[in-house]
Amino acid sequence: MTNICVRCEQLVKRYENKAALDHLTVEIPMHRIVGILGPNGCGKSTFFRTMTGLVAPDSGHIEVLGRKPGWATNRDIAYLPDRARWYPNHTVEKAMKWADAFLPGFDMEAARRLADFMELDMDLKVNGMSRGQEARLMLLLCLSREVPLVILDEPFLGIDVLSREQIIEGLIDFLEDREQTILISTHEIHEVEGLFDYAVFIDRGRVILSGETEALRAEHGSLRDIFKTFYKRRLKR
Amino acid sequence: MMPSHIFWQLVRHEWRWVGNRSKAARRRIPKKWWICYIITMAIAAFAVIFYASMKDDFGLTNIWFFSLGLPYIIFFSGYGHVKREWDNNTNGWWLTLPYPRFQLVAAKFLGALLQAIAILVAVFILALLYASTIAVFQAGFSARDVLEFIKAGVGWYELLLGLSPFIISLGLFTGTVKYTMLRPIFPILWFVIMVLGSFFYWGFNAISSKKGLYAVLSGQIHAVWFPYGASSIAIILVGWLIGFGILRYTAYLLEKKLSL
Amino acid sequence: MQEQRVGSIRFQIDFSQPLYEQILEQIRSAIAKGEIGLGQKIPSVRELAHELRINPNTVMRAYQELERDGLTEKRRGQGTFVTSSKERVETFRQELAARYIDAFLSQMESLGYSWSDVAAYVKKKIDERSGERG
Repeated sequence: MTNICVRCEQLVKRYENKAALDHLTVEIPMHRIVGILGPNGCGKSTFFRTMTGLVAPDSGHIEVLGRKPGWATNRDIAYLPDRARWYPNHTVEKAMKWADAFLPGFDMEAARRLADFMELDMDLKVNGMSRGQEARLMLLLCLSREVPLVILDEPFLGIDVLSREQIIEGLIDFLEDREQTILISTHEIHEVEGLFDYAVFIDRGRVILSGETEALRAEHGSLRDIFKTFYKRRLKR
Repeated sequence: MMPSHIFWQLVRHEWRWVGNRSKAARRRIPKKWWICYIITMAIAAFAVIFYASMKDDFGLTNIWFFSLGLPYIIFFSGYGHVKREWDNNTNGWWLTLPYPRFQLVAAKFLGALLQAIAILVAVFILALLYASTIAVFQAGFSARDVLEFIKAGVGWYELLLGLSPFIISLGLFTGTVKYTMLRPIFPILWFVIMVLGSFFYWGFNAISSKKGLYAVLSGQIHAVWFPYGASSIAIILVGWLIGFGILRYTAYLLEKKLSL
Repeated sequence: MQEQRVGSIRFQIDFSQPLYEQILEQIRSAIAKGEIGLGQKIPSVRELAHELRINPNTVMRAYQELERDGLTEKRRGQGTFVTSSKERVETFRQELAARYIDAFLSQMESLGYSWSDVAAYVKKKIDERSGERG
């Protein structure tokens, strides 16, 4: 039981007449780097929002770290929301202090090291940052928390190549010696697929394939190929 | 529960938070120009008052009519505190803070209240400066007129401050409704607020045209430090209670009825 | 699929195959071929993970396997080194050779050739080569 991080059964969430989650069922193991993969609008973000208690499912069952999601469970979750921005009047330093004050498990030392590594000046103001710099700041705020679950919703979306590289490098560094489960959603699998050791493919609010990436590779080829195959099939329909 | 020092840090965060990214993006006007505009406006306003002050029937207390829009500013201080989380795309961070929803709402309430009070104080000081300048440079105004002006202002401010907890709660609630399953009532809510607003201004004189605020501000009757009777105090207290209820309900909406 | 050099080892990572085995195989063969010498340092887990853009845990698992094989050894605070035992590498080389030959033979078998067919073919090759030289 304890080796399951997220357990969903027949999860349904509808917006007007469109189902964002359509009887989604999945079990995600602990202590893995999990890729949540699928095209835009496939329900990845809604899935994450139900995990963080922002969205209540219409029906079905969800358990995160063995509990029902709500504001209290977020103590143990570092969450990078999709398309999130940071408070424009903060500097890097102030953003870290904010995180230190409000986010349980925040490690100031780790954050300073990451800022140094990601080349973010402590006095830099969010208002004057490029999107890439802001993305790096938000990522480091999430990664500097010692919590059992980290959820990153599209951390590479709309940022420059250089920042993207730095974020990937930062992730690799970070992954080395941690006992955490990390969920990363993306629709651009290229360059990052080597990071995942577990993958969940979502399409139209359902899980269409999931498993250990090494096993998936042995059976179906690269994650990118799997993605392309499913996406093509979807276009044909 | 969250430790109280975290709560007060959250209040501090809300109170110090200024600026709105989407608005800043819409108006790409350099800061210099804004400073120019503000100075020009201030001079123009000053000139208008100065011109008016040369008329015979002008009383210093008339200056307060310029501040009749303050209730709206107080309302938008509450409304804006919720809205800008979405405008700035920071709502995800705010809503996943691992603390009881009522505390999040309460921190916004206090932050908005402090901002509203800061604005009220600034306006009071500016108005007092205008009035004093006029009194110094124009013949026919004495220190007693300035005292009368202050009394009228204090009376008006007592009402504003008394009602602002209710007004701010209403603003927070209105800002929140848009992002919850109650979204369909959003237009109706605006209509209700407009009606409440008119009721507020009409209410000034409803009790008695001889005692109403307009009468004081236009100089028909003398100002006193505390012009309110028991019924007004009761209305204000009931407003606080309703405001508290609104905050509670807003917290409930955030917890159970979000629609993102 | 591109070739990448990390330290003195060349890697070719194919994302359509399990990564762990590829790393293991490619370091093993680098050692067997002598591309990386006895007692030489191999890239750290971190370095390799960064260069190849893969999960450090995958690299770590491959490194643990190499250590179990006795092909590498960890030195405290210094990193991971190829074993300095010539015998160990030699034994491994022979094991690897035996594995390649076994694989070859079983493939031939599956094609319907008998071992004597294979032996005849090998003999022919040997004669050709000595003919070229002579």
